[in-house]
This record gives sequence, structure tokens and C-alpha cells, in this order.
Amino acid sequence: MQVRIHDQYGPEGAVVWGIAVREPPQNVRTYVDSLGVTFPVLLDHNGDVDRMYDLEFAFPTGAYPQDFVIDPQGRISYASNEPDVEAIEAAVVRGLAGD
Amino acid sequence: MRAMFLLGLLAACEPTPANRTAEGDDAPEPDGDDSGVGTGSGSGGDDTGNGSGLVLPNDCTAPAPDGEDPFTLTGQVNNTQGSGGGWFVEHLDVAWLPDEQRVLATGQGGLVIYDVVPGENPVTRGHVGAGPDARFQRYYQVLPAEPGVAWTTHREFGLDTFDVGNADAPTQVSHTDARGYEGLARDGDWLYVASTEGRVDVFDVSDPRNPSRVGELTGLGRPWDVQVVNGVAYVADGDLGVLALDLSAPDAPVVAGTVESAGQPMRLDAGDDGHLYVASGAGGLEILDLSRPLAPTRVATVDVGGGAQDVALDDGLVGVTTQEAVVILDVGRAGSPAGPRPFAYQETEQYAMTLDAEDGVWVVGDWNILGIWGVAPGPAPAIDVSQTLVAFLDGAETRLLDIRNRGGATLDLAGIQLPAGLTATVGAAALEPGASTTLALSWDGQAPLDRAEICIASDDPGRPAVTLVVTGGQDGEGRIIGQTAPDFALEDLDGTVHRLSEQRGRPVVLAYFATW
Repeated sequence: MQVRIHDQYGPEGAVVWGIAVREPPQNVRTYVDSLGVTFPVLLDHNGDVDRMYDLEFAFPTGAYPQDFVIDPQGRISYASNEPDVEAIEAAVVRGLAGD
Repeated sequence: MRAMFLLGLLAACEPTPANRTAEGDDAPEPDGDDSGVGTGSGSGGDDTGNGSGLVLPNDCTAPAPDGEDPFTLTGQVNNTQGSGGGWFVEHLDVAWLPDEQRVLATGQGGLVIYDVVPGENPVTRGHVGAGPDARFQRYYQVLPAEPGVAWTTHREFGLDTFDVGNADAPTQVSHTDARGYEGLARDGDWLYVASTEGRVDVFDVSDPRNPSRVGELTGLGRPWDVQVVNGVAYVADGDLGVLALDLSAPDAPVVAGTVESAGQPMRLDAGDDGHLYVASGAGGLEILDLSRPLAPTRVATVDVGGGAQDVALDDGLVGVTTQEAVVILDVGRAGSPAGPRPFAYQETEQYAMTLDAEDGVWVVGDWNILGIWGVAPGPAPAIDVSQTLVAFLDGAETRLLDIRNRGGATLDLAGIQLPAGLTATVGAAALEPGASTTLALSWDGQAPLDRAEICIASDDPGRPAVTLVVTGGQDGEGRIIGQTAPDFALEDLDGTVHRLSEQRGRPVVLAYFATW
């Protein structure tokens, strides 16, 4: 789903990054190739970024967001651990509109 | 449960078990589907109610410990990028050779050799895997072949043989190209290698320095590991379960029996007690009876509080890594009653991925740390709290956590120190081995909670105080939305560095990936 957002809104200026935490790069390579992922996939080898976002944005019940949207001002405009492509898309569109 | 997207490095993980919710609708199951032999039911005292009542002293003074911590760290070395000069280990397998006082380890940093003297910190000797050549990085398993020689597997590159006689400079002596290689096991002149691409390959290793591929068994699911016990090969197949292979023709194995698994078998170890111990991911630890070698049967499934990654046996104890912790069960120490009984539980500093044990020495590959652990007689209580971060988002509400005793003696909870605005009750203050109780935490919705701490005191000698971090949001998800995103810089698969703050002016989507 992030692929579609990247393909659709990338040309308008949206940035999509995948983040793979503590995973062997070749696993990630195989996986993203199989999905046809064209956006950058970042490697969080030691889980440092993972930990930073976990601690700051922990949801209740020990679960953590898996998708974030960050607005053009660097603020979080969307965070969820349940994939919701429409909500992600809406946040991206708001960001592109400068809202 | 540390992070929901902790990735199943070793296995094709199923989605992480549902977030252990506070709603009580998926209260942690003490046991698997089998006989009730396990860490939970049968030992009494389980309580899945919602905190019906006991208020403990608002205090975190630990009582006198009940016995000696049965599982303690005696030495460690941490090979991270900083300490290793740009090199890191990220252990995926360890092989402990007590006679040589050496550990051979594999991981994303390649093959690593350590000197290990119990009671001292391990010393890192040589390694292959530094530098840009992926060819020598990211080995998955290692098996000592003979003194000075070891085999390693690589998912992309196949089987390698290393001369490890000079511990400071291991050198590759032979290589066979293959895909998907993971676990490997030797039986005399034969070496069996599990390939996640649905195969077990057979090598002639009459010359251990030059394995020669002579046969294969195809049509399997996703074999992750293999062990040979008394002439029968057992394969941990993440899709199919545990397979028993008839090796009557050593170079042409045949599937003779299958034990389906509730989880995803990933790693195996066999004791001399006629049982096979299987780390089965979310399925926990599965124990198979091998009295009919070609038709094994499952006799127990044990919840280990997380996804079982690796398993090792020594002296009547079985240890399992769950990424978060090392869980030790008593499966037949001298004088112990039969059956798996809780013995020790130890959360580790990084990610407990892999372990090996012999002669009372337990070697744990804790991601970048190689930890050497010792066993004391026990028993002693061992506290495990189901989550260490608690967030209240919607005002006054109650969250339910699970406190379980994973040790072999009664756990006594002595006090829970709380910040203002919080109250807590537990269902029971004394937990028998394997038993659990519900901790109900209630927030009044008024007092500010900004990363406040809750402290739980018990007579666990290894962990007399457990700290939970708790936050209370003022306006639900608004607590997150609108906050400044922490900046970071990470390399992508092509080596390009991306920094979040350089994207100001554009919306950025961060999508966490799990490849399983």
C-alpha cells in the first residue's frame, strides 16, 4: 500500500521510507524485491530508531505504531499500528496541501 | 514483549501474537494445547480475573530474596559497531566448546571466535565478516566439524568450511554454493543441511575440510534446522512441523514421520533423555517423545512468554531464547519430579537470540553481546511482567497486566510503588511456580503521568524490583499527533544515508517493515 502512495504522491513531493529493524539486509532485499518496492528501505541495524519511536509514542497495551506520517513541519500527523491506507493517504494529502 | 515489530530473524514468523491487551480478552494462555504439562496450569494459582482485590503496600522495598538466583551472568563482551570499529556481531548461533574453552559464533557480522573461561569476560579473537564483502557476512549457523575446523551456513551463499585452528585468523578452506541454508547436523561421514527452500541436502564429509554434496531430499516446506539422533534426522520445518527422516540410505533420506506443530519449528536440540526439544516460535517450546524414533509424538507444549527462537539442553535443564529473555525449565535434573517445571527466567540486555550449554555453562548470543551464564542449584522465584510500558490515553481507566512466576519457588509480591493518581490491585500476592495473576492499574485521569515509574518488589533474588514506565495522555492520540518527530539518519539498502530533518517541507511516510 505504501508502494501506491509512493507512486501516486512521490511525484508531488511526498517521501515514503520503509524501515527494517534488526533484519539481515538480504532478507529485506528479497522481501522488497518480491513486493516491487521502489522507495528507499532504511536499515535500523541496532534498533536505535525503533527504540526512540517506541518510547516516545508507545500505544497502550504494549503495541506500537507501525506507520507514521510526518508533516512538512516535522510534526507527527498520523500514527497507527493498524494499517489504514486511507488515513495515511489523507495525512499525506494534507501535508502536500500545506495544511 | 518488547516491540511488536521485533522481527523474526531466525524464522518466518507469523504475525507477532496479538498485542497483549489490557482488555482481558486475550489473557495470556499459560499452556499450549497439550497435556497441561507446562509452566502454567496444573500448578495452581492462575488468576485471570480482573484484579479482584489485593492492595499491596505502596512501597518498593524488596523482601529478603527467596534463595539464590539460579541463572546469573558471569561474564560478557559486547561487539557493537562502536566497540568493534564499524563491525558488529548480531549473533544468530553459538557453539560452545568447553574442552577448547572456545565459542564459535555466527551472525550478521560473520563468523566470530571467542575464548571463554567461565567466570571471566569472553575475549574476542578473530572474525571474518568485516568490510564490504557480503560474502563473508551474515552467517546463520555454525557447527564444529573437528578440532580446528567448522562449517557455517549462509542463506545466499551456501556452505562454507573454515579453518579455525588459528583463532585470530579463521580462513575459508572450501565452499559449496546453495540457497536458503540454515541448520546443519552431522552423522558420521554425512552432513545434513536444512534449506528453507524446501530441501535437506546431504554432504559427504569423510574429508571434513571438503564437504561434497551427494544427495538431497526435496518437496519439504521451510526447513530451518536439523538434528540427528540415533541415526534418525529430525527436521524443524516451519511449514510442515517436525519431520523424522529415515537415513537407511544416508545419502537419500526419506520422510518417515511428521509431527504437526502449533507454531513454526525453528531450532531443535535433543537430550539423552529420549526427547527432542523444539523452539517453535509463537508455538513456544514443544517436547517430542522419541521412543519410536521414526514416529515421534508430542508430549508437551510450554509457553515461554514469547516466541521461542532457539533451544539448548544441559544437565536436565532446557533453555529457550525468546529475543526478550532466556527461559530455563527443569526437565529432569537429579531429584526433580518429571516434566517441565519452571526454573529460571532472565531478561537480557539486548535481544536473546541464541544459546548453547554444556558443563553447567550457558552461552547466550544476546544480539551484540556474548553472555556467559552460570547455573546455581535453585529453586528460586522469577518474576515476569507482561509489559513494561503502560499508557493511559482516554482518561480514567484500568489496564490489566499479567505477572507470572517463571521460577521454581513461590514468588511473593511485597509491594507496588505508585505515582500519584494511580492505584493497583493484584489477584494474589503469592504465586506458585508457573502461576500468574492479574495486575490491575487504574488511573484517575487527573494526576499528570509523564513517563512516571511503577516499581514492583518481590522476593525474586535476581530481580527484586521491576520498573514499569507509565504515561497518561491528556487528549488521547493527541498526545502523539502534533509532536515533533524525533530526528534520525539511517542508511538504505544501497548505502545512501537518509536524514529525516532534511525532508522538511515534504510529508514523510515511515512504514515499518517486517519481512516475515
